[in-house]
Amino acid sequence: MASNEKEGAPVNTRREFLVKISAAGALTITPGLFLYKVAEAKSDNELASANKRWGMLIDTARCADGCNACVEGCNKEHGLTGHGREATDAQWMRKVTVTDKSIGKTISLPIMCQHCENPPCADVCPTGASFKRKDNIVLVDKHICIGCRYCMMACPYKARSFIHEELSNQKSYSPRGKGTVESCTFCVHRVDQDKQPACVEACNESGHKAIVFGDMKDPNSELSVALKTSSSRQIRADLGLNPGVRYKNF
Amino acid sequence: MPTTKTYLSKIKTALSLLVLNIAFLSTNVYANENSLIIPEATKGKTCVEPIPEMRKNHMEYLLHKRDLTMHEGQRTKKHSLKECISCHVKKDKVGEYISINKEGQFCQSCHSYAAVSIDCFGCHATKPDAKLGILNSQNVKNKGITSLITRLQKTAKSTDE
Ligand code: HEC
Ligand code: HEC
Ligand code: HEC
Repeated sequence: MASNEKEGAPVNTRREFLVKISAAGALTITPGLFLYKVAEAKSDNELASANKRWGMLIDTARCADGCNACVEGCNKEHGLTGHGREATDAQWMRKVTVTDKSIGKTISLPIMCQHCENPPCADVCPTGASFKRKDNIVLVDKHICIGCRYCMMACPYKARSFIHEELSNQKSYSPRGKGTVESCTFCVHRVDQDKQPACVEACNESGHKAIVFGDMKDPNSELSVALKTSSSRQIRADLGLNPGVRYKNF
Repeated sequence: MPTTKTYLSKIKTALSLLVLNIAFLSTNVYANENSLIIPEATKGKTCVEPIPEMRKNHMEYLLHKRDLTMHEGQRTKKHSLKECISCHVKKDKVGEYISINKEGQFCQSCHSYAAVSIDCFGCHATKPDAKLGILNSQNVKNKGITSLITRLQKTAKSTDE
């Protein structure tokens, strides 16, 4: 686990992934429970592991039109404050409303970094700053980001922001600064400490409970169970990126 | 040339702070010879590595830790930049933290003396995270409006000073 493997886990093909998922589903309860136990006791010096894949399931039926709790939770957690310039202000998460005109149905859903298994941002990054952690959290290593913004163009979800101005009063756990690209980190600082991302917490507090976060490789996690027992979608599944964020009732 | 007085006071320091004496004396000597004043740590008995090692190689520890945290998710406190700040940051007269990279503060003291400039604090917080704000709803709910008013008055006073 503590290896020096370059570039995280070997990139799986989508097919291999699907095979693995179904294999995981077929595991007997005992190894499942064992995995679960290991997953529970994360100590500070435990490293990100390829035995995990963090993901999310967002139930658009529970996500209320007009509710912005997750976005506000995210902004607060990471100290994202704008300059009132919508086009360039940092935005890690946004609410989108989709209307099907033919039946007059409107749904509302949050979009953020989809934490792809095959992230195009990492493919195009000239310095290796955009990368995928072993547990499939897609991050920007801002220490080596040169601010070229290729990743922003490559991302089909428009999930990334560039920081145009100098910042002050950043949060100690979420360093941010001028000249680098940033996006949703799945609240990696929280996940590494067995906590839920800020948006999930905010959504639960708002009473909507529309987001389930967890380990897709642990067959007993709430997320895996929810994914198995309901039908869900990937946004732009056709691109074959295999995002870690899935949507239900969409 | 140290006067007898400073000499005596040094001995006093050494005696009263047995555990810290080596660090203090060496800091003082260093300061006298170079007119470089490095603010003393505000927490902890010693640093995360031996002091001479830290003076020389703190950047190596930081950069190593940076990569481990960023890429591997290691969250131990030792060598973490957040922790350097929590032990080395100072407070001003009204008890507010002073940014660690301000002139004369810990991370700036040697750096400006040796003409080193670092970009870390363009992104990294320069002080520990602020405690819950005055208008934190939980506080207001729990302690009622009177406590809020006293707190507001206190803050108003401290900003006047
Ligand atoms: C547990 C608290 C603590 C932490 C954490 C800590 N330090 Fe220290 N540090 C000290 C103490 C105590 C001293 C020695 C006494 C003094 O200088 O006041 C010291 C001394 C130093 C010195 C030598 C200063 C001199 O006078 O020459 C350097 C350089 C230093 N620390 C850098 C760091 C860096 C960089 C980090 C983060 C990787 C760090 N420290 C983390 C407590 C801490
Ligand atoms: C462009 C923004 C940026 C700059 C500049 C920057 N960092 Fe970071 N740093 C980050 C981000 C983002 C993280 C990841 C935080 C996390 O995941 O918790 C981080 C994490 C770290 C960590 C691990 C977390 C901690 O607090 O210990 C260390 C150590 C670190 N950086 C050191 C440095 C040093 C030393 C410099 C200056 C040479 C520096 N960084 C400059 C953005 C930056
Ligand atoms: C004892 C004096 C001293 C203190 C205190 C000190 N530094 Fe340094 N630091 C230096 C010197 C001298 C260098 C340059 C070394 C060189 O270039 O070989 C340096 C270099 C660095 C570098 C590498 C810069 C580069 O571009 O290579 C980083 C990062 C750094 N310091 C971070 C810190 C942080 C963070 C603190 C506060 C927690 C701190 N230092 C406190 C003396 C100090």
